[in-house]
Amino acid sequence: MSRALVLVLTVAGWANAGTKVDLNGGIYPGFRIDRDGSSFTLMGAEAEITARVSSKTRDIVTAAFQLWAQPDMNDWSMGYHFGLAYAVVPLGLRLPQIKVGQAVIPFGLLADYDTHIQIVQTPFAKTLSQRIDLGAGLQGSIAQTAYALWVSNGTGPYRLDNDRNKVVTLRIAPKFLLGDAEMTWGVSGLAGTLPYWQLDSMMMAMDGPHFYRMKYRAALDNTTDWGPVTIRLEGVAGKDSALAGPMVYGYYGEVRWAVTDWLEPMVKYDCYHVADQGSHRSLAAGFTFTPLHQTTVNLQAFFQQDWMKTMMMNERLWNVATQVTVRF
Amino acid sequence: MKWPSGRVVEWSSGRKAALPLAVLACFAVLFAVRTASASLCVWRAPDEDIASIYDATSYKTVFEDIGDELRARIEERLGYELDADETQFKFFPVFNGEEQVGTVMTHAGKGQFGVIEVVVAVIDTGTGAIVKAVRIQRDREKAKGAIRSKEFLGQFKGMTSADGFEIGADLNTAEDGAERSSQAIANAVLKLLIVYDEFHASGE
Repeated sequence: MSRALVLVLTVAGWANAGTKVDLNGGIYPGFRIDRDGSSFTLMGAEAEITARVSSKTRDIVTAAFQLWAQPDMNDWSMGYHFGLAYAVVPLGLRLPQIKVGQAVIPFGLLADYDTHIQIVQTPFAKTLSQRIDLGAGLQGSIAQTAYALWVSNGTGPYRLDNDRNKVVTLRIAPKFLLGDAEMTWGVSGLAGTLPYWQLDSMMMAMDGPHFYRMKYRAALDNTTDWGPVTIRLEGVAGKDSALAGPMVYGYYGEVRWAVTDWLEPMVKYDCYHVADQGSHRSLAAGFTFTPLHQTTVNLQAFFQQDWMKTMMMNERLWNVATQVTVRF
Repeated sequence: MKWPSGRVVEWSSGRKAALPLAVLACFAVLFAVRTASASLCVWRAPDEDIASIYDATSYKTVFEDIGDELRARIEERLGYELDADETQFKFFPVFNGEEQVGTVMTHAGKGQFGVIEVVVAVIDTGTGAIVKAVRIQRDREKAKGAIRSKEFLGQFKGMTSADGFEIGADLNTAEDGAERSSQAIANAVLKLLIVYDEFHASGE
């Protein structure tokens, strides 16, 4: 049965059940210049549908899925940004929620930071090589500490597992106020088979993986809202193939400063390093412009410099990109 | 597609079906069920908020769309227009067993440096809503500690939509220099009280 028919039947089922359905979405056109040329781009156009079934006194289940128009990226990299389709079942106050379906892997900054509408990206594509994955898990909070446990295939959205191994991700993240700074510190661990590229072939990652490898990752992340300044930090370390394998590590730092309610300059730096292979580094500076009295439209622009230093290459790349984000 | 490391079965023949699929599903949603464009403020910590505000066992989520008539009444009482994206408001009735003990509402107010996400918990006296507690769940204001303090947020307890909400006249600022942030929070509380009263007066 085609996915279209399944969706239509699902929606019709909701209608018959009298379930309330909410529709959100966005469109993200842009323009990009690099050493090879320039092009208008469409990072994506999407609709996000949320349906909720409630009894007289409580929500029973919430289902959400993301529909998208074909953006200017191929199948594999699209799975980094699109494909959410999950149900959340709350078990009650102060109890965990059960989550099943295709959802973001709750590792490091990915747990709270929606990268898919951002012009700059955290280095998840290098450190994990996956963002949205099919699985099941628990999430919730105890006082000010959020937790999430997620068990998933490791093959990305709309793909069945290619082995018996499952990716297990755990994150615990306390949040607290320190003076005028609100801080969230997250500790994450992940183990499982995920797509794998040699550092030299990471430029070809958009075509899809040719290999899967066991990956072990640990991360410490921090998000701090210090007045109008937002700081995001992430450090990731781990091993590929086996615990005796070569060490990999990466880090990410981002600072955004809301000068006013309409202008937010930002800068980010990240690095991913694989022992015996080399490193990728990236530095970007840009801004977000939000028209006055609007929360649904903004313009993002940045200049990014990339350095790739491996045994096979020593390259320095640059690009300038802008993106208009319209949310509805 | 062949995967060297093992078998991968894709669920569809390709994502080129995504566009017509999206259009088809969107039309199905639009015509089959009641839909709305939800405003963007989510309730981030319901468990924690409920535990500290109410003696309660559960809550549910109710999104209500605003019709033109209701919008006009709310705007008349506010004295200014609702934001363009405020086509819908969220209510979270809170229950102790089968009994409703209050309602929580959320709002994304516009502060000096960006959005201030305000959570307002009310009880219903039968003649309108009374504020039981106000929380700030996310903001980027300089006076973050002050606008979240019990001294500032505690001022709202017991207020109704008939009270004055002007910082400096009816309410104290969170701290000197935070007047704009403080007024944004006061405006959000007043707006949600008016919205609650108007929705319930209209029987929606």
